[in-house]
Amino acid sequence: MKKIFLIATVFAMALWSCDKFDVSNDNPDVALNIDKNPELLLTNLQRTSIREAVGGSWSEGNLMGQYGARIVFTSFDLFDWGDQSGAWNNYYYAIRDAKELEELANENELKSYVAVSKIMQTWAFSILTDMWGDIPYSEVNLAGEENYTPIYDEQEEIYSSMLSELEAANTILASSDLTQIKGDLLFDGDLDLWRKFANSLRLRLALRLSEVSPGTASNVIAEIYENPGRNPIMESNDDNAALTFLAANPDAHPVTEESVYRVGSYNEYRISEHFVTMLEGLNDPRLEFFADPTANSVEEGIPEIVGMLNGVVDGPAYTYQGGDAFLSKFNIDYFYFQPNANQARLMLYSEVQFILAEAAQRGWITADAQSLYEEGIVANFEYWDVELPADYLTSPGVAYDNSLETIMTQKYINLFYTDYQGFIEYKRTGFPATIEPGPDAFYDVYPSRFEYPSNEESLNNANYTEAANRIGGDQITTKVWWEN
Amino acid sequence: MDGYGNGTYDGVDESWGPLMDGRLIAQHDSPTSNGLRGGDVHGLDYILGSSGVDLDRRGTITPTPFVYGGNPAEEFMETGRTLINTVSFYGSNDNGNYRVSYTNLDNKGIVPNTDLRRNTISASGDYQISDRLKISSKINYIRSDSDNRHVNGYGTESVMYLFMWWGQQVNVNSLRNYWQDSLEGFQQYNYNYNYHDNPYFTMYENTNALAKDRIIGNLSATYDISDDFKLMVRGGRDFFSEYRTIKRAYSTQRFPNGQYREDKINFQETNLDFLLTYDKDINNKFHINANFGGNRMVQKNHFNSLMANKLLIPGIYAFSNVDGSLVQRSSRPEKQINSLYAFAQLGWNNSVYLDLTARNDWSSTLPEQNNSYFYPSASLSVVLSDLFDFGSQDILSFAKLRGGWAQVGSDTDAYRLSEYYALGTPVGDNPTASPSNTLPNFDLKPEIQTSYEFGTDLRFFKNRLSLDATYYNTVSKNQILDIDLPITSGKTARTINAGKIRNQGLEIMLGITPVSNDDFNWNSSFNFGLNRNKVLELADDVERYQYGGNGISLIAEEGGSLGDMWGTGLVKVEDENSPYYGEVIFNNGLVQQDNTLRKVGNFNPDFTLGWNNTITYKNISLNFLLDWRQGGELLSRTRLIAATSGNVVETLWGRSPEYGGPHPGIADSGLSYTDDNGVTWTDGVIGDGVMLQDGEYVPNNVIVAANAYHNNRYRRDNDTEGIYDATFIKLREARLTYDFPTRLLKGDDIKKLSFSLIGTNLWLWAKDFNHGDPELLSFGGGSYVPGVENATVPTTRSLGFAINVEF
Repeated sequence: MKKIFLIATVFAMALWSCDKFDVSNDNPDVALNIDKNPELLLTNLQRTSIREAVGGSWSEGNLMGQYGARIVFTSFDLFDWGDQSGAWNNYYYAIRDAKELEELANENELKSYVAVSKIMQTWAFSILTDMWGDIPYSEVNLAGEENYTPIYDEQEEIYSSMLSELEAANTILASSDLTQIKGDLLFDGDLDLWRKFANSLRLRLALRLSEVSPGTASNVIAEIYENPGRNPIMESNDDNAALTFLAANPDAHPVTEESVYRVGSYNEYRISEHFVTMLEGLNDPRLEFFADPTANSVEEGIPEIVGMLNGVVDGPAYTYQGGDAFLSKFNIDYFYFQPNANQARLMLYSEVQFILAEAAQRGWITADAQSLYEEGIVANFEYWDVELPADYLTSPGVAYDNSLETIMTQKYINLFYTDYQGFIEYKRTGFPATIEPGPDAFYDVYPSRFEYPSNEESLNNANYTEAANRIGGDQITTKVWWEN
Repeated sequence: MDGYGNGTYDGVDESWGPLMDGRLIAQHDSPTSNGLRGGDVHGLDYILGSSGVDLDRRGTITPTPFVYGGNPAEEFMETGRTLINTVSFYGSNDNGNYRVSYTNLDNKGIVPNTDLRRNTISASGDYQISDRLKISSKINYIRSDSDNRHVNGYGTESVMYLFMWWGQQVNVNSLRNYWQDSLEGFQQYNYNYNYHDNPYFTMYENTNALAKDRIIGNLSATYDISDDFKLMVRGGRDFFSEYRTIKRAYSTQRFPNGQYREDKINFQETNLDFLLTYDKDINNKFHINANFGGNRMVQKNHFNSLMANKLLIPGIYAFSNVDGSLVQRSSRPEKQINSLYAFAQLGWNNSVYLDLTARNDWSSTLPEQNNSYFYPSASLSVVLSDLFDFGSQDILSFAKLRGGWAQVGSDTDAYRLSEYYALGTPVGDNPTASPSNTLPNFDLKPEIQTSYEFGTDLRFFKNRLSLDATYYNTVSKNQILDIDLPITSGKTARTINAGKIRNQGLEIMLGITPVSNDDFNWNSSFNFGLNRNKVLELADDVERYQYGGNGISLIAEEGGSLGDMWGTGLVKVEDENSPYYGEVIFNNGLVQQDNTLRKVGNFNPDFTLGWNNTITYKNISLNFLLDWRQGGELLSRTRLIAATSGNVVETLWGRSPEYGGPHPGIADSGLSYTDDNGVTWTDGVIGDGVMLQDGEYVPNNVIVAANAYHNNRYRRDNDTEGIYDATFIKLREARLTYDFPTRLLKGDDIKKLSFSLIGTNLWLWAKDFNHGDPELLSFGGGSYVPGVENATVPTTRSLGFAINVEF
């Protein structure tokens, strides 16, 4: 009996197979492969990047472009810009997804997705390079190949690559055997609209080189403008690259009551004195649409719009003009209480008209600058659904006078609440010349760029240091290449 | 001030306003001409979905005196109460024994409307089925439930957050009636509708209930194969099922249309064991005990959460009442470890013992080629006082030396070996996915920890004085770390085996019995602990490893220590040759932030010392425990944020009498200045430091408004401004017990009866930190973050009594 028991025990232990498991080490809640569903990546990258663009335009872009100003927590407005790593990360997340989408689409021969991915990537890269200067570009997304520290490419090379990527996307989208795409939040799968966006974006990027490389700028713009068959561009507000959010949380516009953005936070941002003065000077009815009269003036029965001065230190800032009740909010019904009235504007048809007007004014294309300029204004009034006063186009300050400043003033109004575009165009042209550092600002010169995120400094130090030295120091006052 | 941004300054939530001297100001709780309160601002059509404020319905506010509203946290918190009752029975006969006990805990928290109830039933028994076979079983059933647990941390759902941003004029009692007039269920009433929730509304409407059933049980059989051999087999399971229901009412800041959420957590761990034991006295000196065993451990942890983030009808907390679609989240990690092990003890003469162990584990979480790992240990202990004659036992009563060396291997979490796509929340009807953020290591190895220690146990004067001291040294190798990558690489982290981290320390326990006689006894013990941690190595290409944080970052670097806190601070003079070296550099009278991360402290104490005393006189005994923690730093986020909002005394510096300052104990800056509009302010601060003038540092002479100065200086990112020395001494617990003399207990029914008075956290001295208990920790990502305090509910002082009856 004893022996049998011992033998049985030893036998049982032998059966105690140690490297066999009853559980699997594969997570049941994730997908190991999405070859058949590339649209999952497209939707995700559009959401990430477009929500970032909208959030960034509300809380930073509008301040940097002096469309808006804060009444509390004003340090950003004093040029304490921090490293904006949130924006950096979100755009790079979207680029990561777009690169994966491109790879997946190439492997599975789904070339429409290749084109769409290139356009989205380029749009995101252009915002990054315009705001940071030299950035990781050619070596991004290579962790899987053991490159954990991508080099920073020079902005000049990035611009040349972005222009050819868009051209490549245009070429792909010109072919006749395109597969349909799904999951497209921006154009709902309309590949013609994607193609128009690609070429319109090429115009925007080419124009950015107006000061540093006018030859390239004029060649690219002329090539596109003169060959509309090969390079279709936006032709009306129907072609706008503007996303309408859904009506319900979590897909409503991020800066709305529906998205649970707090009304207190919304009220920290007011229309700026600068923007109010400009629009009042032009007798521009878009002012009454963009802003609400002050609470106090409404109570007293004489509604008026009063702007907040940019760059005032906390304390004096919230007593400015008498305080909160004496300063106008951005149209709270349209921009805050309606869940999706406010679109995410990546690029509007009207901007294309202003680009072409400038190109014509500079003599780069043979076209009537005035009519392009006026078409831009008309289209922007139409976009906001504000009635264009009969005499607006001929009124002082608006009437075309063949000056870049006049075109840029209207373009500036057009770029309100559009990521950082108003600020970026100010950097390129110096217009509106009325933008200037606030009374308590930390610098007398207007800053140019964001500092690189501290994560890059600590995790990609060698490349970060090289880039920082190359551009002339990692400060917000360092100019990016195309400004020089 | 009606809380909706329609008064002067009430769009903000900071406390820099005029002096609360009783001047008449229209406030949220002032009466109105229509018999409502100033804060009853919403119209009845609000119910229909309009955002509308209806000030005509509310009427005009009759201003009331503007006075200090009292400390909201003190007024708001209630006295908590905990009742614990235990009954137990046990019995035995020749063949077996059993024990059954029942404990009931009933707690009412200090935060209003919070509670916790716990019922524990445990039963155990064993039975000798035959001469050789014995069966034992043990089962515990624990039921915990609560109607509401409060939310900790920084965010509008935490009441401490609300108090940090509190309007100092607001008396919290004015918010008790927390619905707006005629809008019960729809719209809360508050002093500020722009950012915050009414704390009573939060605690009574936005509840977090839980119900948890836990069963821990096992069944084992032991068979005596022979006199020396026996075999034990055992199967056991620890199982719990937790169910949380979370309700958020309409008009909650984070959920304007309410929320209903259910979380279900199912955890189970199953263990199957066998153990073969050989136990024999070889001769009258030698004894051997040798064992060989195995264990299979399977752990399954399933989490499932379902959320209706918008409700159609207020107050109906059901998934069928969802407006829009339900959101679901789940995770289901499972893992298994199989083990074979052996351990043996060789004893000689009851005074020398050699212990040896060896173990091999196989884990399902590691790659096939590395999933088997072996780790041994050895230790020796010698009772010197048995082997040698040290003279009189009255002086050295006992002396023992011990030393040991051990290794421990460990695996990792489930599912870390694959690259995958995480399925995300859809956008409308469009599903989404994103690539995984962590690059896995397909050759991951187990972690190995190697340690040695030696110690001594000495007792003198018939055990009246005892000393137990241990030195230990532990080195961890091959640690499994997720090293951060820049997102530009396409991943945010990669998993590696790296590092060599050493912990060494000293633990000393000194026991003294100064007095001991029949009536009077005094036992005193000191418990000293000291630990030093050093990062000896990180991976080749890794300079720093960040492993957590909240505000500050916890970063390890070679030569540093785990516990080092890194953060940002102010721009200071860095030139060591400058006479102003180390001083803050002001720009336009304001401090400037320096974003470069630097080491700002370490949360580990230099040492800790506990002093425990038990004094017994006849039937009365007094027990108390004093704890001293020396050193270590603490980042107080509460302080930084409350200073930004003007809610701590530091921010009174430089405020004019009109604005609350100067304050007793805080020097008035005594400054006045005239602004650009020709208005003279008596409110102002010239910060202590330097400024740059024509390329030279000169003492700062720019005056700025007090609120601008404090608001800027204590911005939440200026980590260095919130760092404190965490040194403290506290009376952690005291207990006074009276034992009823047995002669007073009639009959045999009651064997023992005692009453105790128990108090905890009775007294605190903190060297540096003046905003609460330096032991508070912040809560982030489901776990406590050491070294950081962030809107945590204060530690509680509790007073209680206990009755102990034994039958």
